[in-house]
Amino acid sequence: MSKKLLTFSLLSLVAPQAGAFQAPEKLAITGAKVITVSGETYEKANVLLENGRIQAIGKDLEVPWDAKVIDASGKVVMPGLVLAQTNEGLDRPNENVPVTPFISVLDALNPVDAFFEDSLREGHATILVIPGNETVIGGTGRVVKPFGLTVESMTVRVDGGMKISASPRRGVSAMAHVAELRKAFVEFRDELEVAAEKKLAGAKSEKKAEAPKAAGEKADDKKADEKKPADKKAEEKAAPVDPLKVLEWKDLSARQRALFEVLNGRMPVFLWCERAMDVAHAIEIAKSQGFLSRTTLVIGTECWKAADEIKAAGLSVILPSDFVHREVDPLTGKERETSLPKVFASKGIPFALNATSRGALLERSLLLRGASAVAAGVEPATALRAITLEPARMLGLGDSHGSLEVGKAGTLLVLSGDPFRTGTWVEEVVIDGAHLYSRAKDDRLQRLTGDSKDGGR
Amino acid sequence: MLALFTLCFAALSFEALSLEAQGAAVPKLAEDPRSAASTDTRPILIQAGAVIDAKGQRFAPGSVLVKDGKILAVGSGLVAENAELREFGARAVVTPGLIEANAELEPLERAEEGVEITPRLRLADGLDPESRAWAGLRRNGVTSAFLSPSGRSVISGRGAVVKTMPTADDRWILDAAGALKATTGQEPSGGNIVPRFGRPNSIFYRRPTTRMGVTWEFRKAFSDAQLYAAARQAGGPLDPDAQVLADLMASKGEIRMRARLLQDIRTAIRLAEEFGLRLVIEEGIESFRSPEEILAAKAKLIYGPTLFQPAGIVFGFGFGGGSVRQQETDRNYLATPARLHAAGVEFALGSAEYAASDRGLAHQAAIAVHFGLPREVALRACTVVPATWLGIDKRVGTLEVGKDADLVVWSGEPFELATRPVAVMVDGAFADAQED
Repeated sequence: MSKKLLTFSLLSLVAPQAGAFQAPEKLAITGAKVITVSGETYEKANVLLENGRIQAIGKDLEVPWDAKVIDASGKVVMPGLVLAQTNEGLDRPNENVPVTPFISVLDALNPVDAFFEDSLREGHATILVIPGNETVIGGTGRVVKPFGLTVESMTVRVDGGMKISASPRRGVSAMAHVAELRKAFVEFRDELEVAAEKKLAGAKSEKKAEAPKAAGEKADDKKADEKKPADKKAEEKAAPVDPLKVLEWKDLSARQRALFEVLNGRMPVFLWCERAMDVAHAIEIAKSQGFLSRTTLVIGTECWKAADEIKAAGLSVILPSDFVHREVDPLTGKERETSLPKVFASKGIPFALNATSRGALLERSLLLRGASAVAAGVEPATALRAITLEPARMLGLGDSHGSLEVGKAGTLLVLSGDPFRTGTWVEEVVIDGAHLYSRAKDDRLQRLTGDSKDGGR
Repeated sequence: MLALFTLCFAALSFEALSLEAQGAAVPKLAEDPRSAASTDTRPILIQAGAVIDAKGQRFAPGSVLVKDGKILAVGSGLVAENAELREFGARAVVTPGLIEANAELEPLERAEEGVEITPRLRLADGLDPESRAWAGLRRNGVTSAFLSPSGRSVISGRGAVVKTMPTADDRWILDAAGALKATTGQEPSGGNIVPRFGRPNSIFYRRPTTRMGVTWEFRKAFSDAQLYAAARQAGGPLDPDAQVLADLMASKGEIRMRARLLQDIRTAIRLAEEFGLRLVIEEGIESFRSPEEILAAKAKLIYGPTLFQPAGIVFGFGFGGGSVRQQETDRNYLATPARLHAAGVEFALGSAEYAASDRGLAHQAAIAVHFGLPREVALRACTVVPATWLGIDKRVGTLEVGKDADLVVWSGEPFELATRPVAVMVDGAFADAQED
């Protein structure tokens, strides 16, 4: 089952599962200010969704007679928010063995975890759930939507990415940690080489075994003898064999497959760097192992100091939910605060903001994170991209999510006002054409913020 | 005395000018006799997209003219030839400096760990002008603050009212003997161990260990002070602690009680009534459950901070675990300020131990607005209301001619989640401009 899903996902990475959500065939959101993020912003426009995808956006679009309608007059429509990476929704973020590329959040993701309910409420419509940072090679994550009772029905993308950490785990020195990371790759490549050689040798002996039956012995021997020197040369030239080309999915054990996908460049990598010094290790390892182009850095606050290195390597970053770096000069005692979004925006490095339900009030929502980034001096348009299109791109979903364009997934939010304004709320959430959340019907939120007498409890 | 004279003079001399201030030039400023006579400081003219004076007026575009630490004029399109011009752009908005009504600053010496009742202590005696807390307060747009003693003791001492820009002399301390602070609830007993277990080898082997014990310590201190007062009148010896409490009762003075949960708020109301004190409630996390009781008790409420949204909205409620702070704050209701306002309770906002952090007053006010409190009420709750309650409203709280030149320049509309204070002026001097 899981293998089938895996292969399926590799072929067609994103497929709106309209059936699973019982989305209406046609949905129209009318009369709203539509912020597309990738293109223009429309006033008083309609958005038409059909079979879970965006069919049209425009000012004077006719609403089909058979479409379900959400009246959003005076409100704002924007793409569903994309949570670039989290380890919430799992029972535990990490296995207590450092090198576990073969485990997957599939087996730990809890669809009824309060985290997913909160995510829907906050408009976080697309989420990468991936193992935590207390690891060397942590395992595979999944891109999910915060709705559904099975992991399969929630899944947007199976191979969400591999979590790798360039920063020492608790109680481990930096030297030991990085050595362990390098060793894991060296050993894995050795393993693959052995497997590849075995496969080649097997193929040869098979040929040898089959050949005599096909033709006369003598003639064949001669041919073989003639070819021998050339073969040897070729083998010497080609050696060492490239196991990534020789080996196929079926030649690998379940233990090897996920990391194999990383090395052959099909699996995105999310590389954790807590401190600025870890960035250099991370880049060096990603480069030497050949997955730099598929890598996104997940960074701690100090890493703004490595911004130039990150830019030179052409990488994107996922910021921590608390994105202010604070340090005290040990000599002068002067306190310095650095706001990461401002640094990365000014250097032109693509970045995604991140939220966590474990943080302070403003850290819980991507919209509020965006507002904080604007307060720190980032242009609103950049902040908007940092919670939609940029993270979508990092998850390999840039063509299907993160902006409102014809043909993209019908995943969008209706807000009560402009994003980043105080007092703006997520009113409606539509995912893949299915209307999944309505603030007016959110009893729990009403209790917390509403005007009912028993509010607060 | 001299200062008072100058202040009156400034107010008078400008009254004539202010007639021309609306859109007209202010030509006589250079001839202001004070500038020749006293120090030769130049006035500062602050210009922004709007000025909100917290008295109900909004000038757009707005300007504020400041000299010698006082406000000379507030209005639209002021011109002053001699002035140093500070322009902040069309998006910027100026408000009065905020007043943090409840700051519990960690780096300050706030409590004596070994004793429950220490009313003779004054926080003002432990103030560090070099503390980083002042810059933290200013980053929140705070120009005056009530510094509250720790909640680790039952009666921990007197707070202080200060400006957030320390001066070489003690001009920055507005009130060195502010309101007396007491604490209800769990915290004063937190960490204490019942003496019957183990070997009593630390100061924490003591009572109180319960809410009842905490309340008893308070009641005992005040009833002892009543006995003391009688004995003292009859010529008994002086007890500086009891004397503070006796004086407070005699003058029907103010007691500040930190009370988070509803049961603690009720305890505070009961105790204040018992000893004839005027009550100021700090924090009041569960005040939303019964605003009527606060109204009936005529208590002043300094609400906040709003910190957490319980995980999963209801799943996190009342689960115990975590610190006392967490347990007592997890029972909050995010729309509390809005509900208090709707119920007719006047309150100030405070941020307690978060006052100097990025969850300080500017953030607390924005959160209150986000959850439904009208903007102008939020502004009052950070300016006029605390100024009045702290007895400093003659000097601060609004932008008015003659008042202290304490103001905040915001990057946009104040109390927005997407704006922040970009410059703060205390007593006519700009503090460290926000470093980017």
